[in-house]
Amino acid sequence: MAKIGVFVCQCGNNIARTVDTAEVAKYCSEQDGVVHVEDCKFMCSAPGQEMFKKAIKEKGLDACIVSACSPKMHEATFRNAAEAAGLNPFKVEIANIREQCSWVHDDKEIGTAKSKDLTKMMIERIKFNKPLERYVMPLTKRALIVGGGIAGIQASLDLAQAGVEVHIVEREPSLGGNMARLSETFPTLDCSQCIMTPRMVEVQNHPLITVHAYAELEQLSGFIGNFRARIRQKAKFVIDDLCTGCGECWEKCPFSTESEFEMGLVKRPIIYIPFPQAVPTVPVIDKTECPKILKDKCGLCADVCGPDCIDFTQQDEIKEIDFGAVIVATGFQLMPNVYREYGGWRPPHMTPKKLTAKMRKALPRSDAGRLVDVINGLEFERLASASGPTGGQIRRPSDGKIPEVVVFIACVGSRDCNKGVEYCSKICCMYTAKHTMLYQHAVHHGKSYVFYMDIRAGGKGYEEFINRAQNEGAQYIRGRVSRLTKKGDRILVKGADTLTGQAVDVEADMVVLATAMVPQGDSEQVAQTLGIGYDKHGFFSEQHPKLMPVESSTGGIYLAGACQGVKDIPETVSQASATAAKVLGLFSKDEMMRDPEIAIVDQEKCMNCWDCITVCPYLAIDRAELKDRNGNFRKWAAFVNPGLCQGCGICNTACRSKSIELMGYTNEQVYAQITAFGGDII
Amino acid sequence: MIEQIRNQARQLLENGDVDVVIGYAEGSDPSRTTPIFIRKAEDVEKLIYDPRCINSLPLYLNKRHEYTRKGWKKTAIIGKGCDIRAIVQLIAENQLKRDEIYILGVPCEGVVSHPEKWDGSLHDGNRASKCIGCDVMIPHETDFFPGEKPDVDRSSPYEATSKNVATLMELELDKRFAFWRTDFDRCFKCYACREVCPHCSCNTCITDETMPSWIDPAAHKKGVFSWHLTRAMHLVGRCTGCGECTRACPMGIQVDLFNQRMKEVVQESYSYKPGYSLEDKHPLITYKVDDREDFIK
Repeated sequence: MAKIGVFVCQCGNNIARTVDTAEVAKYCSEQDGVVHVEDCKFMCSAPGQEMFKKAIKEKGLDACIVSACSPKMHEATFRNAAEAAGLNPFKVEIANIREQCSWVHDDKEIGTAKSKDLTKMMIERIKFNKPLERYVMPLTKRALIVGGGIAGIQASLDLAQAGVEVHIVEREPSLGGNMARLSETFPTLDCSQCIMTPRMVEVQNHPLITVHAYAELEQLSGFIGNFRARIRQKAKFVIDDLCTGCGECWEKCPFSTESEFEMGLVKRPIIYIPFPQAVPTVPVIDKTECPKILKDKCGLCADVCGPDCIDFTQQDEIKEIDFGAVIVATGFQLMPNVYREYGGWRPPHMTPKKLTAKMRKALPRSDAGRLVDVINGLEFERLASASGPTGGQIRRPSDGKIPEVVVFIACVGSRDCNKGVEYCSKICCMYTAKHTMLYQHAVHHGKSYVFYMDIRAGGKGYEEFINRAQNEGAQYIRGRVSRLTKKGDRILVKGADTLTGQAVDVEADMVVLATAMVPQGDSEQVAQTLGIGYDKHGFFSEQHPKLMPVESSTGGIYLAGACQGVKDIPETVSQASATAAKVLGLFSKDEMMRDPEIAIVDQEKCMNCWDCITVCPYLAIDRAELKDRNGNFRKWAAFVNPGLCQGCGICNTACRSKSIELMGYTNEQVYAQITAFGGDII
Repeated sequence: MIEQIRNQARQLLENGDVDVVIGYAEGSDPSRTTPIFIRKAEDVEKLIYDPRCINSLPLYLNKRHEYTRKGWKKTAIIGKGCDIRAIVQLIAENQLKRDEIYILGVPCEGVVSHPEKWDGSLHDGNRASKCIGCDVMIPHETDFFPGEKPDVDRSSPYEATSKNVATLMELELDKRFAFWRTDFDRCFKCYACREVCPHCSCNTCITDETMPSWIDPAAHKKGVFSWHLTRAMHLVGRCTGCGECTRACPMGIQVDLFNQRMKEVVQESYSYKPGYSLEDKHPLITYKVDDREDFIK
């Protein structure tokens, strides 16, 4: 006969307010197998736990139920306490009478009755609990960083400096991400590339860091401490080890296409590095454009290449590497197609000449598609950058004229429940102020206007920066812009000044939109590849908004930078360092303890449909050959690798023949639990 | 047509390419046919095919059946389109290998709903409901087909579901429940529906489990409901709609109404038709990025 102890917690008044704990305890004491009950004010307190341990020892309990808060909160606490008292930790179960009972009910009678049921179900269930032993698992001390922007760079350097081997996977040909595009950074106006490129070089030269540039993460399997990544190294058609980065090939390439790095403002060769300081300085051939690859014409780059490193036959290469932890730092993009809102819409990277009559017709306003001089923030950054297409002179894209009047529009797409995203894009107030300054510094007699909703400048030195921008000549107008129209070779900005209540018309030479920051277009797919949560916008979800802001919902995967939410550079860098600290904490031990609540297969019953293999998100199930006593093949059956199984129970549900049991959640346990509550219904 | 099939079967047996040919032969009375296992080339004259051939032969290919343990390496089977769907589904579920099987496809104009309804010809009055709108009258997966096999567009949804499903779905929930309460009253749990299903392939059926006994073995309402609902759920995305369960039921309960309804739901939700691909796994165990999520509340 079982000797079960039931401990009912009042949680101060949290539970006791709507549950008569004394009555629950009395009810439990009448159940079969229950030999000890307690009604306690705070079970999780030190005296509460002492009482718990004492009862186990003195009464010789062989199973315990704690009726208290969610097992998420204190299951580990009581299992550890039971272990200390000599009871197998998996003979302790929690009945959740707080989150699932007292907090959601007002009526004490109902609350008490439900608490009785919940606890009774656990009493019946625990009679089938078997003692289980924890596993010791090895740990791979190597970290994977997805994304080579400033967040990935910072995290990789922090980790490498602490002695951890790091691999960075970057899908573009070079590290750098969006920060490499910026001209100067707020609030200090220091040159972005000047502070970033030394870091990039450091990454390249660090013996513990491997950069997989122009590569993508295809699959991530395994679990915390033991991930396996499948990385697709896209064909560069250039042999890394031989290339000296001399530049002969990209200078001679006779073909060109819009440069992604320069936001389509200029062209780049087909064999290219995105920008001069690229790391690694190995060019790639854009196989969608290269005439040699498409129709076997040209091949000039191969002719001029001194070290003979161009190989048009190169194929994508798949690498499988084991990792212990993953840092996701995939960054952001600016909201695409916002031009539409202001009548200045044009397809990305497409000059008006290329618009067909049909496309023109599809545009929302009559004069739409023609306002080339309406640009977004990142495009302005390139115009202002010394390494940009204009060499740092601010010239408008249409005719290259230096703009005399520039209008900056804040909150484009952000804080807009109807047409854009609801959230505040956070960095736009700051970078718009920076843009006015950069413009004012380059064009001394120029005039800049900023249409804004509110100024949000909460950061060290940020408000001062805004004041400085206003003192340097930017005219701030509080109000929204209704539309932009063409007027001669200028743009008529129709707006309102809500402080004076007047309509404001400005004739501008160029308009800069402070476009909202949104996640990368494929962030949902990335999240699904990694198996982490994401919100409705596509930002990856943190485990807890306050207390676990850099952990993803999956153990061993951490989030750094703008892929988790809008962030400026200082915040991104701090978060990246935080993830590095988390990874170092994980890697500080040589092995990990794993819970034994994993699936096992009754191989005789298994009818090898392999549905379990299809559903298993951790690739933990394999096919096994069963042999008879003479070593002859007998049958196939599924086999669960205990090292990989996470105990999620999906295989258990998918298995029609009920050949799979989840330890700690066996069919018998769950059946007992259900029948204790509603077995007689129908 | 049947002459070509017979010749092919004879050749296969004479050359030793297959060990057995499974097909149909004349049955005990003129309205009936019976499944036949032919092992000698001279017996192929017994093979017939006409609208009376309603049995689903792939049942015999299911590993659960004794027959598969006879050591026959390769089996030829006469398949009408809907049976070939079942064969394809068995292959997709790893219950059968494609190279173990030689499919003699037959062009089919439909079969009768029940042998008793056979009056010498097939017409709207006695055609099985599964045959209306069938897109595999010219079978999709065959090794041999008498004559030229024309291309058929099979992208449309499954053939029309039985009218009874629609009628039932129009009823209020409690009326629908009342219908099943009365219908299931007759079920005495003979498990004919299970035995005749080509896709019930578990070594131990969940209903025979005792630790714990999830499905009450008794033939009262609780036991009957839990059996039929479990059976329906286990066949979601797998049932290829042969309708044998209803035909086999000695009490005349239309148990395949559940399956037909689930087939509709799967099709609407995931545009998935079981039995057309040798590799595809059914949507309940797979995840695609563009899967519908609007029913998750």
